[in-house]
Amino acid sequence: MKNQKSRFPSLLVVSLIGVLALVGCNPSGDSSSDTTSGSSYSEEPPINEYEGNLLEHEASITFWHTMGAANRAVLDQMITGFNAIYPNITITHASQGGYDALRDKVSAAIPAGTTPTMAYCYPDHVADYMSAGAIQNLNPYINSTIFGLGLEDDPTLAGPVSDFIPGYWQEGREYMTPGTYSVPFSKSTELMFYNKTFFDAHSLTVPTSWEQLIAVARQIKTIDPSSTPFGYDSDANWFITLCEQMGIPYTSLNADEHFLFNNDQAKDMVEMIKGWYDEGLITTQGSSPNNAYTSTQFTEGKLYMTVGSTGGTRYNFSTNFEVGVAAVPQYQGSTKIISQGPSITVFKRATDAEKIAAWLFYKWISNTRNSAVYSVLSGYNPVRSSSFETDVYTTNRVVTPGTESELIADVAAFVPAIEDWYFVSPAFKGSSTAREEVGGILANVLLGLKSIDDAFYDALVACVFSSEE
Amino acid sequence: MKFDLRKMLNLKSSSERADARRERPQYKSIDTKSMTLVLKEGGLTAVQMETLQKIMKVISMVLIYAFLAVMAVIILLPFYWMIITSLKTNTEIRASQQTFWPEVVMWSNYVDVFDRFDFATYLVNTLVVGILSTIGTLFTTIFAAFAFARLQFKGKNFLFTLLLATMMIPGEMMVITNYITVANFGWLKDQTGVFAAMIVPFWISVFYIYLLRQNFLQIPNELYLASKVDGKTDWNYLWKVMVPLSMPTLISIFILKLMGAWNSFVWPNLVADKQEYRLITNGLRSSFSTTAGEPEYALQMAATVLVTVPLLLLFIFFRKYIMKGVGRAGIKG
Repeated sequence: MKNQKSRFPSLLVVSLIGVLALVGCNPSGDSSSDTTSGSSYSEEPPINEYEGNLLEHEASITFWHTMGAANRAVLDQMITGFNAIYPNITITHASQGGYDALRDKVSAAIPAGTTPTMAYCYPDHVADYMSAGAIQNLNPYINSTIFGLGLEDDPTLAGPVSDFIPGYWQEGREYMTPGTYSVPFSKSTELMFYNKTFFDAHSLTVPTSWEQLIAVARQIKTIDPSSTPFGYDSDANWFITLCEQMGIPYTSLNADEHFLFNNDQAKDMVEMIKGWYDEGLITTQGSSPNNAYTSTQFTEGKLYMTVGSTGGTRYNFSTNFEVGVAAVPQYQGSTKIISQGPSITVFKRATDAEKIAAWLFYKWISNTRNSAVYSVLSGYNPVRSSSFETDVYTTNRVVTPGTESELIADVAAFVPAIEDWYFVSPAFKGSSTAREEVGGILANVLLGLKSIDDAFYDALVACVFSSEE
Repeated sequence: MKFDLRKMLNLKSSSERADARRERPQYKSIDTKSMTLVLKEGGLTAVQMETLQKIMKVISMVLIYAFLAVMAVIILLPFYWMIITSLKTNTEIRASQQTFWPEVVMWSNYVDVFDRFDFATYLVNTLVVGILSTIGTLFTTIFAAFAFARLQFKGKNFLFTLLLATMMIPGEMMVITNYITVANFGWLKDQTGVFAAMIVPFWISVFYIYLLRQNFLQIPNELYLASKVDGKTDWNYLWKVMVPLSMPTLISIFILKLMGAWNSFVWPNLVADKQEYRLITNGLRSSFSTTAGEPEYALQMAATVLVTVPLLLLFIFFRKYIMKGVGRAGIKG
């Protein structure tokens, strides 16, 4: 009897706690007040208040990023330069770990109302933050007649939008809501690295198209039957890049049909790659034993060509042979390569003065010289065309022959030639899942773990679920 | 017809019985020393059985030790991997074929790590957070366990059930709610606030309250009644009798809580938004990356080895208390 009596309150308690826990899961009142309609994104900054007196308003801003110690030291130098012009603006910055940790912290800070003023971001992250109404549309700042772009007498201080690499700038505009919600800071792309010593010794031509690449791969296979001639480090990037080059639908901003990749053309494309794989001509990281980077296999002499990120150029350097740099092969005259790397976004919760200060700081760190300085330091690409011409980027670069700095310099010299080739995929809730899933399609099909139809179907299901969570 | 009843019954006559007595063999003394007693069970002699038992014992020992060795390898492999990774070059770490011993032993990683990792700050932060949250936990645990074990009040069992029920909710579910709470308290603005945010939410541990309550329940009522006869208050009884008697459990709670604080990652990573507020685990994750943003695993693992050693020593030296305390709490009650 006693037991029966004591069970009832226990059940009641468990139910009560369950209800409380579920209530706890709901966004707080604070966050719901932030979830405003798209129209509020076009709020005009209080330009008139600031006209002519940008130096009078005190502002403290916080910048969250993922920079390591050496990068933070360079950022500190940039802040010193910035404070020489704007002593009224105090900048605090902190690394929050990796990109995922940064996203998690911002995601927690949005409902808590503790977002920084500005932060590093990837488009997928921004799409998530935007769904909570947390991101500031930067168009009014970019176009401001007081502190917009291209207003300074010295164009190297903050040149016009046209000075930015078009693909990088466009990334900040590929969201569900019209406007500019992120601006480029440190970008990278993909290039093909090849074993120049081997190519020269066997008089091989560096391929510029996939057709040529397969022909060269077959030649290499006759010279060195044990090798795999070509590798692509990122399965997802290969899928997405090929879709873009071949005009195959991948994703769209249309909320009714975000995921377009489950189509016959894409399946034919994967079947084509599977044929090359079965012939022993190509590999990817996802289909390699131990998930080994193809850049590593390349430096170990197991591959003769590899496509990888320019941010990771150093991992393609080898002391055993000379490494050549070329563009990613194209499909029937296309000129498309993927754009990657962090951008910067500004949070809406900041005060007007803070948002203007953040914008002025962004203008400073992305100016011609600073973009070049950060590029040389990180191995990433500058975001402005004019940066390629600076002495920092060209003549003053420290290059030691026979070291990875030489290869990084080769990449730096090559990149300006392809600055119009960059493309970005639309960013929306679920776009990062789409990216992971199409990478999975390629790996699963190449390894023979799934049929092409099953792999595409499973990927689509995963994407649809992720977008509905 | 004459019936010879004696024959029919096969009885011997008196003369025949006398003859039989005369013919009875005379027994000689036997030398028992030369005799061997053979007992057989299941077709095996005692010697064979003893041998068999020995063989079985050896086989079972081999199997037990083989199992333990495999388990030990499984447990030790990550530690071994951590140590060898800390001694490798970055190129070797990225190689497509992993090696079980560094091709070039990079002792210099252990020197470089001191340039890149602010041990002092992270260590002090971790100790401050660990010790303060542990002391706070001990106090709340002692008071709550005393109340639930000794005091009689209305709704005691209901409250205890309520507390136990909260253990069913994964801690991760509380992260965002707690974050919003500490943010609304204004604790995320300065160092003191951030430290408070890392300490205060962890002052209550239902598991430790349960552990100590079970321990308190094992203390005989007679001691309580005797102390009452002596005119002691509940407060005196708690500190003079219950706490000293439960010292092994309290020590194990102290050690386990301190280890928990040392190992905590998710919450401190969320609330400590500046490098100088970070705890050692967060420092390990965020201090080692190249200028291109790639993680430097060799240095990271070298720092991890240096951070793991104190915890390992703590466990080795205090394992007696840890095991004793957990054992004493028992499941009875």
